[in-house]
Amino acid sequence: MEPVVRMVGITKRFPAIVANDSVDFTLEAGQIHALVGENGAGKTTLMRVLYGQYAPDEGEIWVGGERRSYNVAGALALGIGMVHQNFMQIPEMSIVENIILGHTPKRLGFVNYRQARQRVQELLTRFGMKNSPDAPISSLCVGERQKIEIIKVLYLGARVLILDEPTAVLTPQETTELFGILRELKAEGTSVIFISHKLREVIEIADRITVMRKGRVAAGFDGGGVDETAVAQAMIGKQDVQLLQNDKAADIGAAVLEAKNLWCFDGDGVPKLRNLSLQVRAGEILGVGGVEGNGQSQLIDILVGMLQASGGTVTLAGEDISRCSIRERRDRGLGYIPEDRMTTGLALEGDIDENLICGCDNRGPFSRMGLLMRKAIRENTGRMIESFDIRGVSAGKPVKSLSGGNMQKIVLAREIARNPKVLIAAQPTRGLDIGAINFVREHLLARKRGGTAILLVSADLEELMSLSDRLIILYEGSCAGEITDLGTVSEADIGLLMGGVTRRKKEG
Amino acid sequence: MGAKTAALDLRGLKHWALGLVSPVCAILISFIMAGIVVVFSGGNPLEAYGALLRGAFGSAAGLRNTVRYTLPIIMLALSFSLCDRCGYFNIGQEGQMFTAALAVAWVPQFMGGAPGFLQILVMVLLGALVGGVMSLIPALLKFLLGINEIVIGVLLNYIATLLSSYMLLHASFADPNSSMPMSYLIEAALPAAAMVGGVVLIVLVYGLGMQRTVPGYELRMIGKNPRFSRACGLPTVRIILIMALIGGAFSGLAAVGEVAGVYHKMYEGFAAGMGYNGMTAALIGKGGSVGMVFGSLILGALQSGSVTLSVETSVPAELVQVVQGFVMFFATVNILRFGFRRNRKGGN
Repeated sequence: MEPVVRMVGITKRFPAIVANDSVDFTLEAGQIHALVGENGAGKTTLMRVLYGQYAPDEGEIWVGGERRSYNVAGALALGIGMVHQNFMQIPEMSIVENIILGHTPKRLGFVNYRQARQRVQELLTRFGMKNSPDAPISSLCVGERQKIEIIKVLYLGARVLILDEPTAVLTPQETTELFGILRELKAEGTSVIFISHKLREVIEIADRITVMRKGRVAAGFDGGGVDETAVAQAMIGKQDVQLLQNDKAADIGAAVLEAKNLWCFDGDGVPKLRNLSLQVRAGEILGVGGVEGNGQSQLIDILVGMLQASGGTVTLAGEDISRCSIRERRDRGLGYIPEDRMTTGLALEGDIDENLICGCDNRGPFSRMGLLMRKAIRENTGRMIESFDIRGVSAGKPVKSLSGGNMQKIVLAREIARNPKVLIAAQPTRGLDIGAINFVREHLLARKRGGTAILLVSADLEELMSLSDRLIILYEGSCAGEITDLGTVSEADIGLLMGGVTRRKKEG
Repeated sequence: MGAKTAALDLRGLKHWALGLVSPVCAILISFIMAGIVVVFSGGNPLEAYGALLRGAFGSAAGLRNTVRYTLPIIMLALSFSLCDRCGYFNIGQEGQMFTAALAVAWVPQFMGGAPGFLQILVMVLLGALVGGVMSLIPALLKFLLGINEIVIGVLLNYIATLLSSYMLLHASFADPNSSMPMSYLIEAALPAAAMVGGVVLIVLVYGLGMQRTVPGYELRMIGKNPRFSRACGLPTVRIILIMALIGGAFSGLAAVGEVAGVYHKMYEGFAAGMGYNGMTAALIGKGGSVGMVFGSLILGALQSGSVTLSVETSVPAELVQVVQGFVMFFATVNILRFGFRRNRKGGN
């Protein structure tokens, strides 16, 4: 039988990188095809080519036996639909309005709501959703919003469904539910392409696995009983690469950073943090987990000083810093690795000198009496490049041309070289390749051994479990549970906490 | 500071030269476009530009006039670019100039008996202060309450312009015997040499300060990424407000120069349209001091040459405004970047 989609020799170049290098990809009817690989391996680029967002520089796309070239509208007409990693929805509008947006059924020039509502209702029922088609998107939780995205694509008549990292924002239970839906769709003959880097899930659901590495297809596996390590090897491409673990050798001191009864309300008066208390002790890594959007960013912003809490106190080494400016907090020994290095961690237009001294620029050795000491600044840069192995920098050039790993090394260098008492690390390895991940982990663990209290906020459960001494899970702004016995707890248990089922509550 | 190496000088020179490519292109294209307009209206563009050039640089008087027009544009360009780095669009420069000028015109009223240099000193300080406060109003509203500074700035311009018209008719310094609303003659005069020296000094301090000092560094970082600067602990709001104050003070100083150094009186509408000249020069220079001085010189020369243009050729002096319009238009495009721009990197 003719495959639904055949991509042959696809090459897509961007100024700095060849994102896809003569990639072949075949999708059969009724197949769940997983596309795995590390960040930056070219998965999303390949799918955007298939979805018509990018035109390939070389190569052919065959859809249903015919060679095609098209844009996004053309892709939809051919029955190819994509669910993006970041939902493209308007929260204030209703489910049905979001679904028909751009494809409104019309009658005499008016929107034919009755027809739209009827079709949307059918789809909602089929997906086991009890929400009214007129409910606003903002009233839905993340898992439901994702289902709406899938429904939208099906509403447009997609027979090929591309899902970009659909499970990144889901709890394990919601993931199981999603897989049920995918299997149903498959039974109806819809083909699914599933981008992920979570191997266990992929092996569970996929009929076929294609592994990408550095823009090329590294390996292909047929689903069913695939060896996880074989896929991992193909993904990483190196033998014997092990992610560093916390040896949990406890040499933990007194509490350094303490938050008591934190409350935070957003602009609409919705509580984002509810009476949250926590403490981080010297030489300890406290992991903070949870589905994204359960108060993690507010917690970080309040601790760092970017946001004023609506209530509660933050103390650093016994001193109340709730009212301190960011600079005062940093002067007292707070270090901060922001979640987003592109917007908060670095000035991309600045050069490495400028990025390394920011925040310390007003004191020796970098300045004297308000004048910048350029020699000292350059020497500092040289030292940092050496000890943090920062590659690809040239003096005076904006850091935006560096790779993600090297950018993160600059952030690390700036924050760690100050020898902080407390380090707040938000998603410190997000989007990095495995070498860089290990580099970051190595430095975090070294700081821990040096006695720094580290608060690690991460969406990656594996990372939290292997680095934390202790773990708390946030759910709707409060602590759903604290886990001290990380060796014995299972990911499923943590999944329950992430979904808001309280396991046990201990007041810190 | 250590001795500079030759290599470093070369790098600086290259950087400097590259910085001029974009403004020079913008200006060349503008002259060509305006030339086409001249051709279509039946004139000879080469003749017109020749007249402009002779008028601006061909005689000692012309040259003096060119400098006279260039100085306030430099101050306004510095003012605009300083604020622009902070994300504060200082469109209120004319309002700042009018209010500062009112303060200057008022000075002889309360210290008429004092020696001239003392009066001038007070005029400079007061003009700078009033301009700064006028600029601080929209900045405060923007950064503390989130109100759009362009709306406030434009409205304040109206208030300041109309207030000066009223004051020039009814205030104690209004000259009742003149045919149009203006102040009495200001006897204490700001000497030309002091103006030239002052502007040169300010440009030097600005250029070096931006590159070599802590406030300059912090301002540059805020310009590059305010969120990052804040996360690193820079007192961003305070820096921004101080820069808005200094920016306004620069506009005020431009007004002091015009009123106390050139016209020796304040008259209705003396600063009308000047804000746009400063903005255009800042856009030409892209925030670099060399480029801004260059841009101001071009705009100043256009104004100073326009008299010769209308006297010697059949092309009307309004050609100058056509050129200015094109310059403003093309200066907003970063030609260098535009030329090399390609697809942005995609991926995750």
